[in-house]
Order: sequence, then C-alpha cells, then structure tokens
Amino acid sequence: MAGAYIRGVGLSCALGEDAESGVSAMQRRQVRPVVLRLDEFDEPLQMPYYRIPDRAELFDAGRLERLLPPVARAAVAQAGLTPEEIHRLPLFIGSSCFSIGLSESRYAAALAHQSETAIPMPLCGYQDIAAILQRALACRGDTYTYNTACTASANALLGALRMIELGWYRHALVVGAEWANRTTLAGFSGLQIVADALRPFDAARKGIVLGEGIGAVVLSAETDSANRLRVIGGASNCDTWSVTTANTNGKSVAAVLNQALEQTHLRPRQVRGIKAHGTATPAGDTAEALGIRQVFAGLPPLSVLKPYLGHTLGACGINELILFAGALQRSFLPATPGFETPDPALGVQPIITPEAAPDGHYLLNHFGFGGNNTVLVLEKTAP
Amino acid sequence: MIQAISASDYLQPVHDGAALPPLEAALKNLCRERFRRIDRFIQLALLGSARCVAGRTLQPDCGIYLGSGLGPIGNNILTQQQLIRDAEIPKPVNFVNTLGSSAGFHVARNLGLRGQNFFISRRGASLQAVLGAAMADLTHGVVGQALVGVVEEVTLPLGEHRLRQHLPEDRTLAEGSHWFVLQPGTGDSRSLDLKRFAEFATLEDFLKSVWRTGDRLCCARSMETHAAKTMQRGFDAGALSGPTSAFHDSLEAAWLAAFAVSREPGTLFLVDGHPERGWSLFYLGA
Amino acid sequence: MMDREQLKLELKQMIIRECEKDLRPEQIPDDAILIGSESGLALDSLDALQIALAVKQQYGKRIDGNNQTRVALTSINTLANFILSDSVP
Repeated sequence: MAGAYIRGVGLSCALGEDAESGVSAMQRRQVRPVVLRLDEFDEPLQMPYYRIPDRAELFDAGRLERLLPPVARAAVAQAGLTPEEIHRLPLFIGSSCFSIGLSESRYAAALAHQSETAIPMPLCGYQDIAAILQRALACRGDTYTYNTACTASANALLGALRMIELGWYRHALVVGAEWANRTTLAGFSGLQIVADALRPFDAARKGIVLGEGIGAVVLSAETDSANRLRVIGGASNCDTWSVTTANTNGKSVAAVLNQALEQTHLRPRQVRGIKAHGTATPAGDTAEALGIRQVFAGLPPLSVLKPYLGHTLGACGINELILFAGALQRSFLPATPGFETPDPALGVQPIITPEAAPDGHYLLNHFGFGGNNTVLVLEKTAP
Repeated sequence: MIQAISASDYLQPVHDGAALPPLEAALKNLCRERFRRIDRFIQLALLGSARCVAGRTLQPDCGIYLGSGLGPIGNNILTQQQLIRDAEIPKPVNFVNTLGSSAGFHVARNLGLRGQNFFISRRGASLQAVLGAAMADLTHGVVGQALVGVVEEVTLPLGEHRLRQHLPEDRTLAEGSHWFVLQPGTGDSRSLDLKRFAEFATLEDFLKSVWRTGDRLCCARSMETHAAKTMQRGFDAGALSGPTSAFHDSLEAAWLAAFAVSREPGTLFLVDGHPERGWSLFYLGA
Repeated sequence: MMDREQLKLELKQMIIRECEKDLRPEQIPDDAILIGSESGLALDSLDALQIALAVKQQYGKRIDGNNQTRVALTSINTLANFILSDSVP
C-alpha cells in the first residue's frame, strides 16, 4: 500500500482553462472575480463570483457538456494512458451541484410553456457528470459519485486512492465539478455567508465568494520518472456538532488531522506546509485554526487558494489539489491574497508571499456541511 | 473475512391515491432526540439505520456509507419550486439539505458516530457503489466497522415521480431503507464477500465452483443483458425474496436486505458487470 | 399601521412553523431571548437565517449580518419593533 501518483491533471477555473496557465496565474497572484447579478428575485441578487473565462452565457444549458470533456481529456492525455486503460478507467466524481443547472433550466422552460404540466426536478442528475465523461472519453469503468458537500471531491479521491492501493484499479480518474447555477447562488445568499471579498483567517473576514471550476486528476499506482507527486493517504471524519460548521473548539479538525498523520506514519514536525480550507467564514476559519494549533506546536506555512478561484464547493478538493500540486512541482508555496490583518483569536496566519516548497509532506484540508472533515496527505520527492 | 452482523429492511409500496405513510411515530421511538429540519429522505435514513443497529453499540469510528439513486428528491423539489416557480431565495434549511450530507449527519448524530461519512450514488446501482466502497475500506483497514445503507424516497404526485424516472403509469412505487452493519471477523453472522473478475468466463467458473443447490442469484439491473441471461440459464437458483413488482431506484439493496434479515439458508450472489468494464460478485453467505 | 399584538402573535406562529418547534405561541414570552445558548427556545444560527428569510418574504424587511439588524432577532419585542420601524428595509 504505497499511495498513488498524480499522473495527469486537467483544470478549468477562474485562473484559466488549463492547469499550467492556472498555476502560472496563481504565481502571478491573479485574483479576478466578476460581479454577478440575478434579477429574477424581488430584490436583485448581486455578488462577486469567480467564473470560468469561457465566452458562453453563464447559465447556458449546454455549458457543462462543453466544459467537462476537455478537462478530463487533458488529464488522460498527460497521464499517457493507453486506449485499453482509458476504456476500463473508473470514475470518482465529487460535486455539490451535479446537473442542477440543467434541471433548473428545463423546469423554467416548462413553466413558461405550460405551467400546469411542468414537473420540478425533471432531472435527478447524480449520474449525469459520469455519463458525460463516459461518452466523451469512451470509458466504461465503474463510477462512484460522491455528494458530501464541500468535501465531495476530496472524499472521491480518498475512495480512488484506497481502491488503487488494494489493487482493484491501476488508474482512476477523479473529477471535481462545480458550475454556475441558480440553486447554489441563491441558496448561499440565503445563508448570508457570501462576502464582497475572500479574506481567509483575516480579522475582517466576512465569508465566502463562490466560484466554478472543473478539475480532473488521473491517479495511478505507477508513474513515469519525471513525476514525483504522490497522494500517500488521508482521513475523513464526521462532526455532529452542527450541520453547517465543524465545532469551533477545533477538536474534530484536530482529530481528522491526527488521523491523517497517523495513517501515513507522519509526525507533525515532518509536515512542510498546509493547504488550508480557509472558507473565510468567521466560524469555519475558527474551527480550522484552532484545530491546526492543537496538532502543530510549530506551525508549518499555510496557504489558502480560494482567493484565486473562489470556493468551488464540491470540486474544491480536486481543483485546489491540482493548483497546489502544480505549485509544488514549481517548488513554491502559494501566497494567500486577501489576508492582511491577523486575528488574535485564531493565532494562525497564512503566508502572504510565496515561499520555497522543499521535498516532503504536505496536508490538504477540506471541511463541509454535514460535519464532513477530510484531510489528504501529499508527498513530493526529488526526481 | 467480512461479516454482516446486522441488517434491516424497510420496503413500503405507495399506492395511487394513498398518502405517504407517516414516519414520525416510529422515529420517536428510534431516535435519541427529536430532530427538527429533517426531510423525508433523512427520516427514512434514520428509520432504517436505527432499526439495523437495534440497540447495539457500534464502534465510534464506524464508517457510514449511504447510497441513493435519487437522494433527497422531495426536499430538492421543494427547493427548486421556491427558486424557479416562486422566484424566491430557497429556505436555508431546504438548501442545506440539498447538499447531500444531511442524512449521514443525522444518522451519525443519532447513533453517536464520528467516523467517516460518505454519500455515494451510482443511480440504479448505488448499492454496488456503497457496498464496494465499504468493502474496500474494511479490507484496507481504514475502518473497523461499516454501516452501509441505501435509501429511496417516493414523492407525490406519483405520476410525476414516475415521469421523472421514465417509468410506465402502472408501475407500483415503493420507498426503501435497507441497511447493513459490516465488520471483519468470523462468527455466526452471514459473511459478505466481494470478488472482481476481468473475464466473464472466470466469473462463471468461480460461481460454478462455489454454487450449492438452493443458492440465490441476483443479476443486477445494470448488468449487461446477454451475460445476465447466460447466468440465469446456467444456475438453478431459488426464488429471491424481496420486491417483485414494486419499484424504487435501488432494488438490489432491497433483495440483499430481504435475504440478510431472513433465516433462509444458502448464499445470495449479486452479480454486476459488463464485458468492457469487468465483473463484480457480491455474495452474502449463510 | 399593523396592530402590534397581532404582529407579535404572527411572529410567534412564524417561528414555530419555520423552526419546527413543539410549542404554542403563548409559550413564547415577548422578551425571551430567541437565538443562541441563552435562548430557552434552543434556536441556532440556521434557525436565525430561516426566520430572517421568512421576515423578508412576509414583511419586506431585511435582517442581515450587520449588527443593527441582527439585534432585531433578540426577542419577539425587538423583532416587532424592527418590523414596525420606518427604517428602509
């Protein structure tokens, strides 16, 4: 049981429509949300949003089907899988929205056409992302679709990793997919946690800014000589304190960090950096900061990536893994834009300028509604 | 060796013109606290999981693996009606419950669990997905115990529920909540095993080598049709207990749970697969 | 002008409905703290959001994260005052 290599990646997010340019944009500290306006409510909704810079109308019904395949193809191409390997490729998918945008459009169209016969939720779309990918790649393997809010694609990766370690699969395609839809935008607006800007761990933090992003990783039991990034394990737990946030005393966050370290036989001082979840909500960052401090006596450098691509919810695990891994390959730890004023109550500060990323072990944190906490452990070794 | 130390099977047909059976009274007896803000999907999950656990104390780090083809569809319908038909911001509670983790959260809270908590779907083959994930984690050793459940909810009007699933008008619909507690070890309980095969012939040979008269065979609906027919012809299988005409998205879970809770002798083999994807065989022993 | 007593009864009914509490309106005192650990009603931040949205939809008054409007959710009295006040919604 030796972990699994990140063999190929594909990414489309606010930073750009491929992984390499995304990492470069992050290195340039590009932060580019747009202003979004939804006019259909009594009082129009207006919020910043990190959109994928394609030219299509944001809620265009064909958008998911256009955005997904190129990302997956890029990952598979970079991994250099043979047609036979692609044919049997299992899919592990994490999302919080699936095809809800399509379902909304169809229902709205049906209401406009003949309201008496319009059926709400005309699509029950848990399988739609898998179906689009299977058609696009001509792959026929098993599919696992995770729906655990903001930890969904991190959990999907954990599932894929364990099955690869057991020898069930040699390769797996892990996909995180989150794209603009009205349910997510209006729903989070009702939760009153959407802020004007993302300020992770800052004393003035006010909440999240949403984003869309699609990421794909080919995870493999073996690698070529150039690539030395390996997911070596992780852990996930459930905190039943509140359905919307981990306990602000940090205990369940500390527990899952400790489990991840134990599972990978690491001591805290061996950790070279942490990709924090950093939603920038007052409660979420409190739980994460206190949890980290309970585990680490000396704090490793902390990076938060959400200021670059927004909170991509169910896809954030894979999207941020791709960006973080890309940064490690270029030997830097990303800076955290938006952080200015330390919060004495938290006692942790993300790095504000890029730092060197040595070989060694890195943790990636994810926390979601439903008390779901997931930590992944990444290892970088010299080629 | 993995054992199914406990199982529960809730299957309730819902007939045209009838209301959905209320679950509150049953939940009052099964839940540690009176949960608010729970939709029918969460109610069904609480009901099935509590019946399965039946007072037994689970390991606190027991993993939860919840599968469903449709998920919390009633809550998702309400949310979409608020948003699209009424042009209103969805109610926070309804929106939070669309995000997938709420049912698992309440199951964990009710049973005092703090281990990993996954919701996994593969539409009509969601049992195979969650059972596969749970078996992987148990075999891997990352969990010492797994609570695996599959839940399907019915919504009214039934006509719309059928249309949403492309079902004929005369199809009887059912709600289901089917649960298993799995852990490594040997003992009096039924054993559960999973074998994976690249070739159909190897699967057939294996099944022939372990098959005994009276064993049950369940070819998953997602299995390739030609292979399923070959299997059904090749093995003299006893009749399956469980649903015969009533439908929900995860019938395989209903068949497996019905067999698990019965005292019937023999083994139930659940086969799924496709020549291009490979084959999997779950078998629940005596 | 809305009748104040009638409004307070409506608000209690709304809270019971939105938060699924097993209570009758007369069991909620006008000055009882509604949200948080000091609340006899055991309502949390998700309940607060649920109530805020219902108030917005029924009375057109916005309760958001800023302190001035958050104070409105202190008790039935403060909520009624807030709804009856002339401030811009």
